[in-house]
Amino acid sequence: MRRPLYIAAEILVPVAVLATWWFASSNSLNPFWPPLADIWAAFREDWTGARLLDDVVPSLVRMASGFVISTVLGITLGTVIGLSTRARQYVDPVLQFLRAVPPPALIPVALLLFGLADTGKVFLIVLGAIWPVVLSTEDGVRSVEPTLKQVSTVYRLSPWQRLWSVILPYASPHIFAGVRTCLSICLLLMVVSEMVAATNGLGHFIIQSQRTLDITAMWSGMLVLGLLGYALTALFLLAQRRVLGWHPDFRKGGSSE
Amino acid sequence: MSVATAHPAPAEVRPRRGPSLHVGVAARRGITGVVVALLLWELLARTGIFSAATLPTATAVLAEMGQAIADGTVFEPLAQTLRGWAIGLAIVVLVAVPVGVLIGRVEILYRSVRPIFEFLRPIPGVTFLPLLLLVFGPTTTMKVWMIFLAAVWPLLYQTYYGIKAVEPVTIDTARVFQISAFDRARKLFLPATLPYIATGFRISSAVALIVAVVAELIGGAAGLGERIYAAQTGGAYDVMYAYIAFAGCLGVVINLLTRGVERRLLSWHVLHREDVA
Amino acid sequence: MLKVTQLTKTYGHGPTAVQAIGGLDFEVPEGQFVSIVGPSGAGKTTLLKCLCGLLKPTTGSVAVDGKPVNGPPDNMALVFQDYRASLMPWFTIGRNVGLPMERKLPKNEIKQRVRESLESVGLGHAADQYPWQLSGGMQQRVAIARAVAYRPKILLMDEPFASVDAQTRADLEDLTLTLQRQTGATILFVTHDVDEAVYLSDQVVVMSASPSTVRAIVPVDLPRDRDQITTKSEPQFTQLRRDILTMIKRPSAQPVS
Repeated sequence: MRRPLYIAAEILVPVAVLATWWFASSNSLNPFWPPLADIWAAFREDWTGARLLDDVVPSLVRMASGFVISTVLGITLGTVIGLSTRARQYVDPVLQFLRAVPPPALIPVALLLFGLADTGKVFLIVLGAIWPVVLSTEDGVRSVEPTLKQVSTVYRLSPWQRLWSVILPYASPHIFAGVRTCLSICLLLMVVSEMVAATNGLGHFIIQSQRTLDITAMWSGMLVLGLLGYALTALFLLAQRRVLGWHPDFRKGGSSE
Repeated sequence: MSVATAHPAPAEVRPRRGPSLHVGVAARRGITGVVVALLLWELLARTGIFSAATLPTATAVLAEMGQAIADGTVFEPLAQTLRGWAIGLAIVVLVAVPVGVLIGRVEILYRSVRPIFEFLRPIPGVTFLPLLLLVFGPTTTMKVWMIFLAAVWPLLYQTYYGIKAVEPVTIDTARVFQISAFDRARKLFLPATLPYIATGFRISSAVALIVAVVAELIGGAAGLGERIYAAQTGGAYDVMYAYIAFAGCLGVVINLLTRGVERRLLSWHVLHREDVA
Repeated sequence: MLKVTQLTKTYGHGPTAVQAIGGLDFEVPEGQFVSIVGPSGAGKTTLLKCLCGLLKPTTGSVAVDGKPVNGPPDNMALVFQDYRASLMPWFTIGRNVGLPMERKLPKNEIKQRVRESLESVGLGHAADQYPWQLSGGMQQRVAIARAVAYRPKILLMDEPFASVDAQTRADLEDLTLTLQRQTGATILFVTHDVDEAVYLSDQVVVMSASPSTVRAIVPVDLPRDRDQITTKSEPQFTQLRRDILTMIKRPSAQPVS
């Protein structure tokens, strides 16, 4: 009967860690490690209400647009390329190179081409985050089980049916893996681009706090960013479990999370 | 009684080729693709939609790259980026593999740390940049810390999955045959987990490179990213694009090497990956 | 109804070419149950693939109702050996069975056919379940239901019961017989199990080893009402079985006709 023990550990240990942090830092005079209590106060003060709208929402909207465009465009491109061996052989080396360029390195390019405009930021996100989706989709589309393809042929399914009822569902685990990476790149580029060149946004807030040495504010911003990352991943996993519920790896208790 | 109707045409739509010819065709087409992409870039730059400064021609950028190699200016930032990357990655391996094995074998440990890990894991590495910059300044130490905080997760979790994937039946069989714990670790767990560790290493090394560049670009640590930023603020856009391309080449090389290692270790093993991209 | 003329199939070119089928000629009359047996590697699956248009023969032709087969013909269905790979895991059983008919028939008719065919294989209750929830034998029944719902004139079956345990195999054999008697379909049944072939068929086509030719066509004149116990106890059954097994295991130079 280990289960209650496990559940206890899951709850108690994090609580213990937080408590230790709280008390260990409560009298801290180190400028870089303010008391957790202060951070929490700053968090409550800064992040409820107006600032939420001013800073976080525009960031999220930019990120969401970039994410949606990357996903839709990426899946389309990946499917087209994956279905044609020829296209794949022509295009793959270029794609592999584009994917290997570290996305933050593209920020100066976007800055140059679009300045500080919002469209520039969305373009940047797409430019950096689309490649994992394209390559994973390509992978998935290519690897469709031959027997399923034969079933489609023998039963004379239309090309549309082949695509939507067979190929894309088969590729969906691969696609989701690529989309997950895309999501983390979208978040990364959003924050980094705001740190480099923006007048609002979460990244801007954090770097500004750092420059003005408002350490507690900086920590509170970092906390928000952490929570954001966590929330987005949780949402993604929820969506994944719903869409891929039929796949053995993604059912409750599967190991792909 | 039946009349033979011979079909002289070849059976398949495409004539079959031997394996070596296949590779040749793929390589030729790949190279063609690269050349076409470069040509498109060149054309786009020359149409003047973007000013000559903001989008230099492919030839100009390639010339810059050639220059940087010829007079050696690329090697120092390259080495600096690689140094931070390598040290960070080494620390990642030294921490991630043992911890991954530990939580894989001892369930209560896994349960204890899981909420903390699951919270820390999706945090983008760049979150810690301002803090690390304050504490360490624009140094390699800052870079290494950032790399560690961001890149430890893929390898850690892949190791964990690898340990978990070892069939209990195999473990029991080894026990029944009185194989010592040490030998079990060496001959059972190690080979079984190695492919997962290879995959995790590939992903972590890619993350490490991205974080290194961020640390250099924004944090000002020495390396390719710092050169990119310097070139941009200085208005030397040819140079800026050249260094971005260098970073891409570095990424490609690292990717090819780690994929090669992974494929070698995977050749006998069927595994489901955490992520393909 | 199905006529195979001088069929050959060679894989590859030049010195590495492998001739799987050396020349097959046979005819399958309408409404008959014909089995194809032969030693391992005799190209039985290759033959089926040529018959349903998945592969093009190197020389020779296949004609259905007088019309030559160039691609998957209308009204032909195939039940694969690997049932696990031939069902779409992301669709329910009902959707799987109805898939070949989507866009070809009105929705009500599809629903009805799905219901009827699932009931005829004993899975009327399973329409809303997913393939992973069913056992191997049940999955193969779904594949059969899918073929039956399609109402093909010719049903090809590629060692469909090879991966199923003996008990289930007996049930599935009887099920197939019942369905054939009910629908009057022409069935071409590939198997390596001679007992099964004799039990089920009206004729058995014996293939030689690769490059395969027709060794013999053996009529099975057992009473049409087959039963697992009584039919297999008939001396006629044992005789046929022995003759066919001899042809396969000890091929002599003289073909028995």
